[in-house]
Amino acid sequence: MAFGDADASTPAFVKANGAGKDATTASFTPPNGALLIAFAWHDTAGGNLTNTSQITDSLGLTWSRKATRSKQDDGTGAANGHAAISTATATGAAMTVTTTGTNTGNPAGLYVRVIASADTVTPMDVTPVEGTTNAAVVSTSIVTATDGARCFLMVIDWNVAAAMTAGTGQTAVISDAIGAPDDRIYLGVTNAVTSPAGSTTLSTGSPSSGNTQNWIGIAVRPSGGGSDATATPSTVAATATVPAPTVSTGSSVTPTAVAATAAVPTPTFSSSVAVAPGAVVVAATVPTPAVSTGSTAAPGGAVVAVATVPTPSVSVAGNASVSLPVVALTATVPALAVSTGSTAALGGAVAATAAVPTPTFTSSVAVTTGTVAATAAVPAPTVSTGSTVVFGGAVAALAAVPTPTVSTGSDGGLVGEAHGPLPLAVGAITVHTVSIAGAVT
Amino acid sequence: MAKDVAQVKGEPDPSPWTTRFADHRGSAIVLSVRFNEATRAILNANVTRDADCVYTTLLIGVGPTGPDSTPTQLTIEAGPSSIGRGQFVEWGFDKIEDLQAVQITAGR
Repeated sequence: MAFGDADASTPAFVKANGAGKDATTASFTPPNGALLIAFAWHDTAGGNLTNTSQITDSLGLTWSRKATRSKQDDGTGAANGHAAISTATATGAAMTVTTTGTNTGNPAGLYVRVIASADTVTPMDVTPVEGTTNAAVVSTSIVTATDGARCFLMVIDWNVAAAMTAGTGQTAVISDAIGAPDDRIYLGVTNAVTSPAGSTTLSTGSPSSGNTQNWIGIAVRPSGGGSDATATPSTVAATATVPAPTVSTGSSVTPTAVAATAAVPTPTFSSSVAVAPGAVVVAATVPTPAVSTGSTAAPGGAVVAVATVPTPSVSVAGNASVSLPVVALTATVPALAVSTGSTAALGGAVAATAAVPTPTFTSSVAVTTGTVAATAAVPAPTVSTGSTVVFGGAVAALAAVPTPTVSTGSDGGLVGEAHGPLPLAVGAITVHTVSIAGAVT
Repeated sequence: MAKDVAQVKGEPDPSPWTTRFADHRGSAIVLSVRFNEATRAILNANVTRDADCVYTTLLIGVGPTGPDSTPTQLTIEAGPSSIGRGQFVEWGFDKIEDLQAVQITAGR
């Protein structure tokens, strides 16, 4: 079902040809919050400059007039015949709708279209277009502002030329007559929404002679500002850095903890949104402390670099897909550079942790990753002559790709490579004295 | 549906007088009323309802609470059916203008 299609609750067209100046729909029950668009046609006496109409309903809703085309509203440049478009918002209760003409001829016609998922605050995407065309087909255009708007053309022919047909790319919703007949009436809709926003042609296919037509063109705006959107950032990156401490001669730096955390916020997927970043990169680094001669760098607590990619949250209303060509996390603890005569004593653990969070798959979500890699490395410390490196705690590099949780109806296939824990590569160490008090993993 | 020919404004419709009530999918009830063009007397009517049309009732006129309470209504079965002159007369419609003088729509 495309935006702008009639909801199943839409009542039938009603035509009233005499006696009264009004027409009332059969009872219908639109969904709560749906947009109601009333298209009302009224015959007028020739040259009548004082004709009006009003939409009311059995629930007392507030109707907003969006456009009127008539001699009263637009002057003698308009044709005879009265056409009006009004909107209201449904409450979910059963109702009837009535158009009442004032100083119009007796014949009237009314069609109320129920449209779901419309912007009920600003239902008209742009100012309606209107005009008068004689002895020709109606051919106009409307320039929409919002992606996914749906357009309608309403016409009344006071001269009772032949029945109107739809122009190219449009469908006739109503093509009938009111009165004996006194007027031909027409309502057409574009066959598809206008996407991207722009100029849309509204027209009739025939007749092209003998007619005198008042017409109105509208564009109805969808809720949410548009149709399905795709966000494709080339890179989603978050970087957190701890500035390098400068330790001068004779100074000490003893932070209890040195942490750098970089996180990419959890993307939120709404209806049928596709997010396909080229790469998701999170890098958390602890810079190399520079320890000069005679100084001591002794972080008493943990030196931790944590890089995380948050679990994307994919919600309802349609299939959403996340395509991540590369998911990479890197957490590194830089190599200590300890120069002559200095001491670097790491009292706590030295850990680099990189973890890809468990993706959660809900209904009909597919997450396809090209590569899932978690890399954690503790670099080889560089110890120069006369220096000492004392690891007081564990030295660990942990990298894990968690088991994804796949729920009903979902496809949690990870296409590509998954790298689990990586061995710690110990580079060449040239030292005079090395003592390791804890476990090396 | 209107006749596919131009007419003089106010000129009486030729027979048959046809109108169509389509639902949200385009499935419809079509009413086509035949009448004597000279005397204007209603002869009979053909009604066709698409099987999946959500409208199932012709509502002619308006009752105390709207069209659904009109005493002049007819349930329409899927497929073709007909309405004889006698039914129209019973409803109070002798000439085509009698029928055209009231509102007509379809309901569920």
